[in-house]
Amino acid sequence: MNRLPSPSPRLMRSWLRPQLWMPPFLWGPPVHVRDTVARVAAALLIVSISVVVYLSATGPRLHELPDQEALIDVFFRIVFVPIMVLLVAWYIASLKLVPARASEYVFLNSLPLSRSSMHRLFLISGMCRFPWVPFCMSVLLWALAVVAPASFLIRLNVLALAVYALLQTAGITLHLVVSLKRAGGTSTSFPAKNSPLIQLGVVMAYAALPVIWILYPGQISGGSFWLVVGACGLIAITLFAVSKHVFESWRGTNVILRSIDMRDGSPRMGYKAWARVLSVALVPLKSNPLLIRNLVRSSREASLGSRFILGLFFVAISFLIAMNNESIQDAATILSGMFYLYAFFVVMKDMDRLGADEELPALIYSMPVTKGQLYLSVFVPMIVWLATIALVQAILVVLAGGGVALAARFVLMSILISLVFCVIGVSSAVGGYPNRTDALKRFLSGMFSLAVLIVILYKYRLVVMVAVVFLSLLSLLRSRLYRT
Amino acid sequence: MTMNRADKPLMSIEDIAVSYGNSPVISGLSTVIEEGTLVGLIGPNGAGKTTLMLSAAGQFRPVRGHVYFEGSDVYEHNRDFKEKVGYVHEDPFFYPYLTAEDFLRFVVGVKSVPKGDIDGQIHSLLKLVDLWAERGKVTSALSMGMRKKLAIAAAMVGRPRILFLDEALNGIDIESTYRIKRSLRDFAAAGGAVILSTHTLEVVEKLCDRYLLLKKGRVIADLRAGEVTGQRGVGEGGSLERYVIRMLSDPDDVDLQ
Repeated sequence: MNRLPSPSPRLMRSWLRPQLWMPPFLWGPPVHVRDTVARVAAALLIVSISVVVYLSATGPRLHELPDQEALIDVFFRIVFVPIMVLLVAWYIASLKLVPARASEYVFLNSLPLSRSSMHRLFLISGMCRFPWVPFCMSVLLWALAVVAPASFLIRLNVLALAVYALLQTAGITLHLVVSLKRAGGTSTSFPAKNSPLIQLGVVMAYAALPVIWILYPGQISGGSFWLVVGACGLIAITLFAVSKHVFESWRGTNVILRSIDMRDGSPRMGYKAWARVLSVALVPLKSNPLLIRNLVRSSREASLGSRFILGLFFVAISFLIAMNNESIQDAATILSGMFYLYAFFVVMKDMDRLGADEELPALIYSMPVTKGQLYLSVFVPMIVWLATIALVQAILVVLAGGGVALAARFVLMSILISLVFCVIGVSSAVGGYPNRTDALKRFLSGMFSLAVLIVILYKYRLVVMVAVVFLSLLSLLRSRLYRT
Repeated sequence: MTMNRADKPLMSIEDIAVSYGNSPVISGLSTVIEEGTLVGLIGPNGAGKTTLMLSAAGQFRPVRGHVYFEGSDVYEHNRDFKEKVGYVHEDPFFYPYLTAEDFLRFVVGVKSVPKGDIDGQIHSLLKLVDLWAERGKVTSALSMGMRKKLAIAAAMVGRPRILFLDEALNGIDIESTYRIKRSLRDFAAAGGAVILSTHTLEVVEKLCDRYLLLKKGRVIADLRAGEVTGQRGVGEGGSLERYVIRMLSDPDDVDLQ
């Protein structure tokens, strides 16, 4: 057989193509603009590195340390909670974005790229997906400037950035490993589906390392700093090699392309064993196929994993904030306030399940279910989840010395408020269907009216809430469901 | 339709077999794609159309057999081959933060288009798919039809010799479809080849000059545009739809095992 013409030197030296090593925001502009920007950026980078090394890692500056007690105090009082919020935002955003990675691979696979170029591109675009995370972290760490010398903060920021890059690479590699493991079985599920646990590990490690360096600042000063830098370099080289190897194996399995082909055929849905057990265990619900299906579906989705992890985050953050108060009564009040906020967002998110984009409306027309059954299928998971969170918080209140009576009052109030939110949420979703914005407007105006009523009739707030639940349920039962 | 180059093989697929794990998808499939042809790939869901296209496009190595492009094995010279291929996936991917024009520039950069030709190609491709006015919009803000059009434009970057279109014309407005179809004919007339997979038989009937009917990973019919009329069970003036339905439902014409 004939051979194709030999690749041109330009083609061979793929690293010369700016697309394969530049950050994605520089992929687009015309060549002459991009080349100029790239040259300027490269020059700036070299100058910046020199300045950073001079200001933070040479001479006496390398040994400068902050007042440890003051640093820890400011960090935990001011910086820690915003960092946790940042990490939660990163976690949510990363869970939403990951499925696109497999499509990206399929796209890149159709382009004339060498294996190493594709791997590099895959890593670069993966790392650049959340540029705001290291930026915000850096801003938050600079808030410590009131108690720490600049040289120390520069070292801390440089290492935080390095840790971010390393953890992102590690996260991508682990996702590929998980995909490979899944491909080895008979599962036909999308192989690049995110694992909430891996992402949680990445997020937690990103938070943990700067915290360790703040607790033990000596580890990033003097010779230890260069040791840490060297260790980061070695880990980076190892990670790059491992991720390249895993990427190659992942490519070789063809599972990504298999998933494309599956789109053409009938989807094969399978419920997990524990979900089947759960559906059977819920005996009172067994008579309702929609309810069981919906519950099983909910529990099968990765969103339950992310909801679980986000719930843990919420419990941890709210407890840390509340425990800043010396009085346990005050702490319980703050905990209640944060729980109401959490319940508000959970209900707002769950309203989408009754929206036009979900499968429930379509199922209503194809299955013999009543309105009551439909409402229950949305209510039950919402209430159970919120009650679980309230219960966990109540246990923490008891452990913190709050007493059982206080905890019981907290749980009862939380469940009642959750019930009110859920009823208003569901009736707004039904009333606004199929317009999501309209549904949200109804929900917000309903919540506002309730808040005003409670403020005016504070003494009778329990009666007001029970009345709202009752009236909303009544209106729900009388309302016309969708097009029926 | 210009058919003067149709006897020169551009691509030859020889006895390929593709499987996902232990499940065979394509087994022992051979065919030849000539220069200047527009091939319509038809078949029921799960027949192996997408798999065949991916394998032929150098993206999915078969477990057996070979795919040759101009006499060279596409998996031996994969990168060079992909320089000459355009592929539109059924569900195309875009970097959401790039504009339509920037996305094309990204593909142009990867495909080694000569510097002097870059702006001209981007301009003409955006005009071709009627996205010139939308060139400054980020891809995440484009409608589904516009995204399909952008994917077609991206596939045509670098003046490929062969185009694979997987359900590429679905969701595109009438005027753009007309313009794209015309340009596909011109593309074939200039010596290229188009392989189009779709369930819309009208598109295949009006655009393609050769039909490949797939079932269970095998070609059960391979005929030219004029050869449908007069086939058994279709009769004079019979439609492609009737022929396809007859072929798919008649167990005598295919080994269902």
